[in-house]
Amino acid sequence: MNPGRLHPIHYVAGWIIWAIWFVAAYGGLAVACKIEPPAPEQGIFNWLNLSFFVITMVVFVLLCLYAVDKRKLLKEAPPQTKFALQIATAVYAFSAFGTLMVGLALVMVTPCL
Amino acid sequence: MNNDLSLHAQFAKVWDNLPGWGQLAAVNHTSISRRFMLTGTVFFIIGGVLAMLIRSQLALPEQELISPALYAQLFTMHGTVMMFLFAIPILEGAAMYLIPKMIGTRDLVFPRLSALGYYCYLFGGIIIMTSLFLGIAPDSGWFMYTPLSSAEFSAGPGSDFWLLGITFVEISAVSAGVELTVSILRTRAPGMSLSKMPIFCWYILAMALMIVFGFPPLILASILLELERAAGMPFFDPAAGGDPILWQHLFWLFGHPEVYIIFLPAAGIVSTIIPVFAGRPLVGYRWIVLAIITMGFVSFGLWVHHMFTVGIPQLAQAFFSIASMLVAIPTAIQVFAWIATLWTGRVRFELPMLWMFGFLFIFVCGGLTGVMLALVPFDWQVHDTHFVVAHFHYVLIGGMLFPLIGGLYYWLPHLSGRMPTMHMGKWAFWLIFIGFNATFLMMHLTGLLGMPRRVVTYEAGLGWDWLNMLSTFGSFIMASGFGMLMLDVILHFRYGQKARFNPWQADTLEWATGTPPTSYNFLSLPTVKTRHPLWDKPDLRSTISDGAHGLKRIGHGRRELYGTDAVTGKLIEVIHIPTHSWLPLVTALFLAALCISLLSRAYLVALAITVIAAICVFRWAWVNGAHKEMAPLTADEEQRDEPKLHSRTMNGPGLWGMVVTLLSDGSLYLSLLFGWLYLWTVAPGGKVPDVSAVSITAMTISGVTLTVAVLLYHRVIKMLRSGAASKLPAQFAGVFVFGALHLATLIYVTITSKLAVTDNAHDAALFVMLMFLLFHSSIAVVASGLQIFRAKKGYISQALPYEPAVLHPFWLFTLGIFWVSFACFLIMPLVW
Repeated sequence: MNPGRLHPIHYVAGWIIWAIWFVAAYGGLAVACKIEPPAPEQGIFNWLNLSFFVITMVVFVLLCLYAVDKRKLLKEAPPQTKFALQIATAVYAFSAFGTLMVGLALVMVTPCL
Repeated sequence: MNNDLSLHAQFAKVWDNLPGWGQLAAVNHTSISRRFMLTGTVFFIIGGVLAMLIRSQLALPEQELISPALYAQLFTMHGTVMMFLFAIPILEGAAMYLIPKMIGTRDLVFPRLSALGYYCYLFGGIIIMTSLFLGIAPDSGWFMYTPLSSAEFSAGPGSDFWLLGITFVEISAVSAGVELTVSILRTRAPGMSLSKMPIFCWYILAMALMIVFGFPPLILASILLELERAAGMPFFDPAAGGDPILWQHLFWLFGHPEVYIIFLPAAGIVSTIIPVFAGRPLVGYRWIVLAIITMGFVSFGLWVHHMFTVGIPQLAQAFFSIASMLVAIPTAIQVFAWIATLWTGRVRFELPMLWMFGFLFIFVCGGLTGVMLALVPFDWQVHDTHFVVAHFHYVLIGGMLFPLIGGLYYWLPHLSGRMPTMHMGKWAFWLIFIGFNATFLMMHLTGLLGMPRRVVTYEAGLGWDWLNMLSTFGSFIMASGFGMLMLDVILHFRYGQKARFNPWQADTLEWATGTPPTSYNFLSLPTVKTRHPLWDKPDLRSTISDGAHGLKRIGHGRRELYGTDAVTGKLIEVIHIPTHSWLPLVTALFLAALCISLLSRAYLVALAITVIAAICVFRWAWVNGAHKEMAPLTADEEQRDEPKLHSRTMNGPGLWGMVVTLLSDGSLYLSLLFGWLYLWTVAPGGKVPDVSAVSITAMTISGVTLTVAVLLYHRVIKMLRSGAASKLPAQFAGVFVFGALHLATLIYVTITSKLAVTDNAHDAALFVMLMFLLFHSSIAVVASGLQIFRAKKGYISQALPYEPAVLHPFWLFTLGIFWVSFACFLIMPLVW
């Protein structure tokens, strides 16, 4: 087994990925609205919301895959690592949920207003 | 028996404080943490008196008890004192007292830093309070919004007192954050893996890391605002490319996590006390750990919800509104876990439990109004009204003060060796509980009826009269409750019943230290195999005291702890920590003098004091490691039946302390980068010049010489790791020469740059960036220069590789910020 999969960073890695997505999304949306704001009459169907949706889904899927990986590892890992893996699984799952919750709510809003 | 006594006496000789005035040189965590808590209590009383004055003024409409100018000072100081001088320090004090005892060790890992932190807090607090007694206190509100706090609208020194004093106090908070993080990760009892750690330690670990990341944005903001006020650098002036909203972003980047920094340790107290009185383990330990980690991160993503009314885009409002609701989930997990623990346990209604129930009721109410405020349209309606004041008092008093008082009663026998009195304690609880709700429940209504916060008075007949009168009446009931509480605590020291061993039948190790504890906590350090050591091994206290466990030799005269693996708790080294020292007090005195000289705008004096303070700090660093006052190499140390001393390894606590400090430093740097990008891209008049005012060629030369210095240093580290180090003084000299060349070039760049620092915010930000680089490069070069001499004296060698390993990350950080600054501040604007 690759020891990296049991590294203690997985205690918090899910939320670190979420935080990077969060900063990139907030900052990116601000910059995009400054440079190339979509026309308001396009409503929610515009290039910016589409890009944001795609990025959100990529991050969501990535976090879910990590959660599944940690869940699988639980079966084969030594007992002393079980606690860390349980926490890591839940952290990845929660951060995936957090990404989806914020991300999907945002694509329902007309940007740059 | 005589042998045991003599062993305890020997331990006391090594660990006890000096007598008399020597107490001021104490570094022991029990002494320092008690001072933190006592000082915090004094500030709480002061903050409480200010609150009573505010409530007295508002009791009746159109009153003139207090002038508008004084009223502004009172509400500013009330918020400042309660948030910065009471809430954070007292919780840090509680954590500093409990953590070593709970994790089964003898002290915090950097005791002199604890002492420095305390004195910075004390002197910073005194400096801030002085302004109130002189009638020149800050009066712009505790979040000091610009431009109200800028020189134009706050011409007196009030804002300067706040900015410099609070920055001073924040040094204390960050140092405690670093200290607690490293102590929890590296000095737990052998066998205490993260999964066996007391839940309180998880909360404190999260709090400490949040301080490490969360305080630097405010430190930076304070530095920028003080530079604007004192030197005219227009960071927040839109006419010169600045933006007052930048202050709000930086303040709330700190301010919102601050709420959780206060809440988490209090929740840790609740999670510790409820299982003890329910007589069963906490339900959902893993879920709570998950909730703690989640809160630690998500709370950093909510800051804009304090700014919903400043005119930010709709999308950003939606973004932060959803994120604000998200944080309710981990909070709810904890509340359900506490309820489940009570539900499934056999609850004993002792005094601390009253406060737990008070907490649950009030905090849930405060949490619910918090979710209401996360809804943007509702927030617009009640922003800056008494509804918001009521909400955050429900959260902070319910979420922090009630658990804190519950914790006080719970650990009182530990502090004093005596039990609290149930009768007076109950009276105090009910007076505070009823008084609190009478005060703040009414404020929700006055807020909904439109009463703005921070108004000195109001017209009669607006429907606010009776509500304000009731609020004031309630506040006096609450104050009488606090009086009763203090009387109870004071009296218990004399009249309280003697506490027996582990009086509440708790499960955690702090109760194995004795009540009150000895200066060394544990005579021998046990191996911990379960999450509830005292429930599983009730005789642990006597076996510890009999010396049946590890690290019981003291003949060497050093203060020693076990150093364990951060995750597994496996024993890896023995950590030797410093004994009492005057250096923290002396350093803090010079820093206080620096603060006062800056306040009086005596900049040459400030410069001289900075040099003296730096000498103190380097002296502090000098008497470390294998220095004869600390742990010199001895011929027989290989024959010890204990692991190696940490200064003989490359993985000691200093390395961890350095990395955690650099995380904080990195947070400050990222805040600066954010501020600069914000001024460039978002500020209304933000623009960058077409030509760089800083010489790119000279900066490149400076960067190349720095890179060479770091590569040379890296080579030394590799040699030490491989066991092939030789001619270390010469190696360090090479690093020093290239480092000095880099520093000289950087100074040249700074002096010859054509920055118009008072004309535009962009150039002012570049200047701050250059100062930031100079500060780091200077420390790295001077420290490496000292290492030449330390290597010559034999304090650094192949057998003593510790110190270069500690400085290594600092050099890497210095290199990293240099090239990131070069790319972002200098190159990016030219190629955009």
